Amino acid sequence: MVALSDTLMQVAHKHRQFKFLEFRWQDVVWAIGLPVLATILTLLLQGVASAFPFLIFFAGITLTGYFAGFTAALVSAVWTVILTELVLVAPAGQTFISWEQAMWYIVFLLVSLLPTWLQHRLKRSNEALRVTTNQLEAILDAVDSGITVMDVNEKYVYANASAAKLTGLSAERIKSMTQDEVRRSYRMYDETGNHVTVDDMPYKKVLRDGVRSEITIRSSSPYVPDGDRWIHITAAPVLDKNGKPQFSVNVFRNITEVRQAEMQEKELQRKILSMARIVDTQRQRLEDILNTVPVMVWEGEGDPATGQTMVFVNNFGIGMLGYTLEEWNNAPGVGLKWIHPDDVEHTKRKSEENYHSDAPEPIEFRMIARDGRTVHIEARAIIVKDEHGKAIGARGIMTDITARIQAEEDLRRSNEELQQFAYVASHDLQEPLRMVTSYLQLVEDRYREQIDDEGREFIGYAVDGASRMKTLINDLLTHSRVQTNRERFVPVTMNDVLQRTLRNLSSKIEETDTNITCDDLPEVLGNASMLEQLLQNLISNAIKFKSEQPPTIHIGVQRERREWIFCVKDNGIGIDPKYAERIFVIFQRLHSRSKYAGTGIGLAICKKVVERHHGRIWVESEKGKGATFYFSLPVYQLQGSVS
Amino acid sequence: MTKKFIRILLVEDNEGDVRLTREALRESQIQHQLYVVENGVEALEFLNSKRGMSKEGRPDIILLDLNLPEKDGREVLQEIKVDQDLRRIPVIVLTTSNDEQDILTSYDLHANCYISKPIDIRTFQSVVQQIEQFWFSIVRLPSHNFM
Repeated sequence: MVALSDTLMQVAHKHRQFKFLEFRWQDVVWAIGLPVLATILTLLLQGVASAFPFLIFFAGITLTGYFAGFTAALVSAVWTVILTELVLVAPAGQTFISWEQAMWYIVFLLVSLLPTWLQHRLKRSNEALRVTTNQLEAILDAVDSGITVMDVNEKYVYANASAAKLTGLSAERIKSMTQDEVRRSYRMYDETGNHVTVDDMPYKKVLRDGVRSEITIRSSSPYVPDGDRWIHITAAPVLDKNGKPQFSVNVFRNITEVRQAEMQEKELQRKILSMARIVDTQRQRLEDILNTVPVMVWEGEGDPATGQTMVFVNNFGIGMLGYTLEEWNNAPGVGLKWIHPDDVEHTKRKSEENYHSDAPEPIEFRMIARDGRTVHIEARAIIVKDEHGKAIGARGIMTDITARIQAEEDLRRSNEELQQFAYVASHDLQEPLRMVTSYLQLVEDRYREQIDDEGREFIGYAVDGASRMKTLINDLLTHSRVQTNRERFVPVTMNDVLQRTLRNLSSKIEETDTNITCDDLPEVLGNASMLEQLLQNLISNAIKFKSEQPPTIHIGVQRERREWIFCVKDNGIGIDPKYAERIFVIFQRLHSRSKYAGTGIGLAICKKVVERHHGRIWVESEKGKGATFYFSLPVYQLQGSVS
Repeated sequence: MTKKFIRILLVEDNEGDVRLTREALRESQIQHQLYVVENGVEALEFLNSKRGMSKEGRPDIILLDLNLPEKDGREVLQEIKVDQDLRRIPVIVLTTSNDEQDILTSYDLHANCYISKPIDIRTFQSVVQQIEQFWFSIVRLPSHNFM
């Protein structure tokens, strides 16, 4: 606004300078020429119009004033006085003018200049009005908004440059627009998408009621190529002296960009809100999970090396040890005082190691719960670091492993007891047995003469019984060792296992003229001696239960998905399918001892060995048609093997 | 060969076994003296009493049972084998146990051999004869005089 008023001042000042300090050459012509013309005219008309000589001079001065302005008229008046004195008066012989004559000249001057002065005043005021109008138009054209003025007949009488630019039409074209044309050309909708007609335009209301009105519309017209635009229109009345609306001044702005920005902001807000909702849902979900998992979940703030503040412990964690979040924070070293005294050192050391390690390991220690229970804990934690790698917190879980530790302890104890029992069985049970056998035999040897055949038979039964008892004990021991053996499984080449087994059985194989064939066997994960026992039992069974013909045994293997299916196929007497399950139960025998020796433990041992190796064992057979024993072992793949 | 005189220390708590061993050795061709102690403590006492000047009565070979009262065979074996003075005496572990762990422990403790007692008397006799044959006839035992 300051700039605008400055501009106006400059324009006005320039106008004044132009009018008073600059004389145009035609003004000089008027000022000199007209009095000369008046004088000539007076001389020519001396006889005809001698009564009105002054009238001619008045007309000359007035014309000069009219065409060349007040200053020229003044010059013209003075020149007239000089000219009349020289031409009209001087020839009469008068050198000096009289007082009376001077009075007449002054009156003449005043009278001749009066109309010119009045006219000059009028011209000046007209000029001022013109300048003001120009200024106003310049201002209106400089304004961003489109401005139109409409008269009561709804004809546009004015349109500024912005109006032309916004509508895509020239000001003249706007002025020629009829209401019908507007109605035809424009498609308009309000903010809710309803159709808007010309009748809803603010100028209608302004021209009808004489009050200010506004509207925001979305409009499209054939004159603007950009498509739909959002336009805000304000209309205000110009009232006549009776207060009736005379004109409507319409101001309209293109608010498409503002509107788009608003829409974008609204969209952004909507997105932020929905994001916040998602975050909230996620947080709730996490919290629900955290409060449901049967482990203590905690989070601490601050560098663990210099001291932490617990900021979160889930419900289970609080229940697990019985300490609240506040109590955790009040406990020196954040819970360190609850660690079992014997475990403090090792826990501190391990924590220190984990603090500097990229792959922290779980730490096991005992804690004393609020109610005095000793709780075995397995703790895992990660250090939270900022972008500079500085530790700023830690998160972790603590699992109550008391039950597991106790189960392990129980298992260890029970295994120890079993081992002790096994040892007692192998040594202490056999020693008396050996005494019985040895001394009976000694009696037999030493008192051969005194004992008759029947006595020797009795001794034979007793020695045989003791001998079978020894076999039984050994088999039972083997059976129990399958379970108690806690050795780690290692890769075992089944081909080697089979070769060792066949060596062990070589004399039996030769005696019975057994023919053995086998596939190439794979490597499995297991215990070699147990697997040897398995093959040995199966192959020796196949030899033992042979038919009339010499035994033919095939040891095969086939892969089925994640399992190797091994088979030991014979051509022996076979097994009635109804006993297929029973034969794997300990002490189950299908034949009398006199026909086939054995303790009834062999296949039970096989079953145990296979099950220890996470496999299954079964038999397919028909009586008199041989039997095929199958067992499965998981496929073992070397870690990192490329093939 | 028959001129040899062998001192045997039998560490065995089971009288039945002592008798069986004695019976089996009775048929031996080799002149021998059998000393019998019933437990580990006695075994070590016996060995310690044969130190220094009285090395004369020191056994040439020890037949050691593993499971003994008071101090068992494993401890006896260990003490013999860490003793600079005694460790040259061959120790034959002769036991009922055929437990894998016992076998490993015995050899770890530097037993000279490990024999499970067979259940059959005839086999047992044959085992004793073979011990005799191998340890007393084939093997050259260390001489005490140079200890």
